[in-house]
Amino acid sequence: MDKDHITAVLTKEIAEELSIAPGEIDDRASFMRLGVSSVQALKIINRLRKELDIDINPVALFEFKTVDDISTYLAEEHE
Amino acid sequence: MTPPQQSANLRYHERLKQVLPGGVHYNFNMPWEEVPLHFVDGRRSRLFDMDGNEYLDLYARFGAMILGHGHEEYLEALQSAMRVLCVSHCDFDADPLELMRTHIPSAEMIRFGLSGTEILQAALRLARAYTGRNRFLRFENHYHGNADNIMGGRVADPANPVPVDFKGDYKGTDGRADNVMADQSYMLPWNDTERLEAFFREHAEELACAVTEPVCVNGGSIDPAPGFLEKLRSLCTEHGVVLIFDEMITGVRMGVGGAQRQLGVTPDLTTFGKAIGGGGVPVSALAGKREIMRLLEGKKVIHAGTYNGYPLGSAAVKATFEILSRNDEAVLHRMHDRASELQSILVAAAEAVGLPLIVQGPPGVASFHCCPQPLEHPGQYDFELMGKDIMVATALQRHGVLVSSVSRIYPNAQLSDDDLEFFQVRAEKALGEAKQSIDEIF
Repeated sequence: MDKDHITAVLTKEIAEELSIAPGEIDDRASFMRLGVSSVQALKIINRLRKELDIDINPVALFEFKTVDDISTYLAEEHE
Repeated sequence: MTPPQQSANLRYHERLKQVLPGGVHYNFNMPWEEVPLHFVDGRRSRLFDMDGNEYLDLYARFGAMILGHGHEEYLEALQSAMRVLCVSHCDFDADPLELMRTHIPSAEMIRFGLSGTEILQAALRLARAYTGRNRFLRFENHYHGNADNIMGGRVADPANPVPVDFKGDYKGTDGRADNVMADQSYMLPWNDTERLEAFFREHAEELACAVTEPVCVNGGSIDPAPGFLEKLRSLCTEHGVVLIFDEMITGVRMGVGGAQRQLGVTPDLTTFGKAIGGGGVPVSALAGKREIMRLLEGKKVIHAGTYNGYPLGSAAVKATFEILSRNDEAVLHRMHDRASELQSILVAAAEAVGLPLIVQGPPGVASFHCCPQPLEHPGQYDFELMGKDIMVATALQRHGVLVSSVSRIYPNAQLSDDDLEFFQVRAEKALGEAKQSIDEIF
């Protein structure tokens, strides 16, 4: 799976959840710093699962602390 | 509901993080628990944090605190032992060891250690020495400590079922020695008798031992399928493989004889920890058949540790077994009864808000899951279900009820009717909120 595509979907979902523009999200900022709560994290993961049709551990958003980290992980997992 | 006031917890946590990595001494807290609670007091089944918030403690320090907080008889035993701590090799050992031997079917001989991780590694070493073989068999979603050779991993190729690292593994770690899992072990799905028999036909002669939780608490409190442990026992006997039960959690929580006495299957070796010392001090134990345990005599097999069998620990085991075994385990029976009532309250609260939820597993080591039917094997505990369970666990915490990760309910010997009332008042509100979040998310 293409990493850029995952990054784009993830950024869109986070932006939607936090009601901010996708351009405001720094790929390398931690989710905690972005202000993502546990409920929001699970919402984002679940939307990502459905949109990309892949299985994602609910703790992944916090194991991999940035958009870039998680996109890299998912791209490698679903090569 | 407005989350409880946490400003004092936050301030303290910021201070702590400057000197303690992550602000905690272990890694298996929920990853988003940026601010773990810091407690200032514990009484019976309740905890009080730095902001004065009160909690019903069903977390019980990962299940270790089986006697609850401030248990008078237990504290008196510890205080009395403290007065002679300056003496090494005290006469503290025989009583707790004989008590354990009386109740635990596999415990012909016993050694004490300090942690579960360490004592499980001692069991593997002993099994290798006894059989002259190298590999061990373990099962998916069981947990046997945080050593390199046995934590996490998954099987990439079922034709060669060796566990390997994978990214995103909650129990994976950087810094693991290369190939240590694949070189030493195999991993199979649990409760699958057919796969087990096929595996033994092909690989039994390579195995020093097979290690299993007798009830898979770490995989969601899943009971063994009828006949599964019995089949594992007979295959191990037939092929000269040492059978190890990891009773770190089930230990005294299912009874002072452990899960093995309840289930009627006796392993060759058993590891214990957590609750056997009552929760106040660390003690682990390796119990087993005399002919295997005697390899520890004369340094044939090394099991070392400065504090192994330390007097305070031995006194704690003695007190714990005395309290829990008295009057035909009356305290444990009462604890199990109250735990079952509490679980019924939780199920009723879920039903009232329209949330599918079951509680499964023996009452001392049960878990709740947001699904309509109990899980039959650990592989069914998928990420979506885990996500829903996390929503319930975090909602309960917001309402003053702590459960252990992810959804385990650990009762203690002092759980009271008052605690059940406390729980009832909070459960429905918490589950209402959880239902709302779950509907929104899933």
